[in-house]
Amino acid sequence: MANFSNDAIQQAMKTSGMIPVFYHADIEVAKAVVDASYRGGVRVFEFTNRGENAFSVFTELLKHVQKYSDLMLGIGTIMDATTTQKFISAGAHFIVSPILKQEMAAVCKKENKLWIPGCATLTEIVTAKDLGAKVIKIFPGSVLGPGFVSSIMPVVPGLQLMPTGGVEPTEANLSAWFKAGVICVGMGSQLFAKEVIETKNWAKLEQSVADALAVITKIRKK
Amino acid sequence: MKEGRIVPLFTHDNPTDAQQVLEAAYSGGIRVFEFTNRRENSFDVFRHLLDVSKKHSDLMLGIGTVLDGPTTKKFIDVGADFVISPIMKLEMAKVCRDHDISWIPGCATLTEIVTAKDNGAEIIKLFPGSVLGPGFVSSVMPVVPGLQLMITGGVEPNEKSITSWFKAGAACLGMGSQLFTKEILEQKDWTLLKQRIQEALKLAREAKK
Repeated sequence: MANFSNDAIQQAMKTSGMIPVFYHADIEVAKAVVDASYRGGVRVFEFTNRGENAFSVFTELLKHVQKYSDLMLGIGTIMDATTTQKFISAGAHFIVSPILKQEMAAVCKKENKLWIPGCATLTEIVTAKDLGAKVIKIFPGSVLGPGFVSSIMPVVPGLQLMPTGGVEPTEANLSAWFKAGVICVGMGSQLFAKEVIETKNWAKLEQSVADALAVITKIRKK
Repeated sequence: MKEGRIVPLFTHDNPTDAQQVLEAAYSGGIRVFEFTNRRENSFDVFRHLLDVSKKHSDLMLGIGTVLDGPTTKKFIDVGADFVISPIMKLEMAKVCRDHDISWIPGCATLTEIVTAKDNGAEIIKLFPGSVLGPGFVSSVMPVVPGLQLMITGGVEPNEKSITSWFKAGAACLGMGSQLFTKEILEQKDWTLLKQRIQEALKLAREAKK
């Protein structure tokens, strides 16, 4: 199984600028979405632990992505230490959470895995940083907004933030986030339209992913 | 703080310019000033400001952007009148309590605010103000009466912004880059700075009535 250093994962997050966030109970759909995302240019993917059989789908997915030497597959929506341990043991490349839970930091530290906790206030962010978080998820992104990021960046320099939740694949929205200083964005439902998944229109999905990444590249060149 | 209604917050790595800004603020009517710990040499510049501000017996000079206990102690030891933080860190509360110095933590949720209050904070900084908005203040004030909130981050020195915060129940407003604009600092136009401060203080006085 491919193994990536935490530095390599952070670098890949910064380089691509976008991480898809996705869950599906059907392994075939999950595989097709990961494949289409990869073809569209994604190199870091977050599968979320949001359903009964998320664990079995995730372990299958890990096997499936072994054919890509440069795809990093992490697990998101993790809420406690036990689940963190379970997914790391199965081979998750990194751990994402919508909350700041100290016990998860300890497990990730012991296993030397990247822990990306979800924070919503600067107090939570600095607590996460002090506990070893190198990348911090800002959640819910749409509630806090790019203004939150631009307000806190001068206060605590060097933060590596990834907003998730309500980030839109439009030039206006992405440009506001990157201008505020985020290193990458997480994108879920705004990227994977229900209708595209239902009709299994993988070519369209690949195009949406490629379009979003192209917008980010364009913004960063400015 | 409540009397002044506006607390300027400012940092600069040049001690002379920092001193000029402090003097302009004082002559504009400011009596509570927050210097922020955001540069490599902020500690040295702050000590310089403490020295030169001794002549004003009614000027309170505090330190802001402090994030931990040891830094809190370091600034209290040289004579900071109060300590402000953008976060709510309990180890800072203890250091301030031990030295009988006002701890003004930065909070962004009611849980953080009440935790700060329970740990001895009499004035609580709401940060970032522009993200939370005056609606946040008017929502929490009836729930926890007696809160003294200082709003920082995106407060603008115009009538609309100032009035909306005081109307919502803010005790005072922190004002940084909106007051000390890049242009003023670059041109070292201390007369204009004094004038802007006088105007902001006037708006704050009128808004409170």
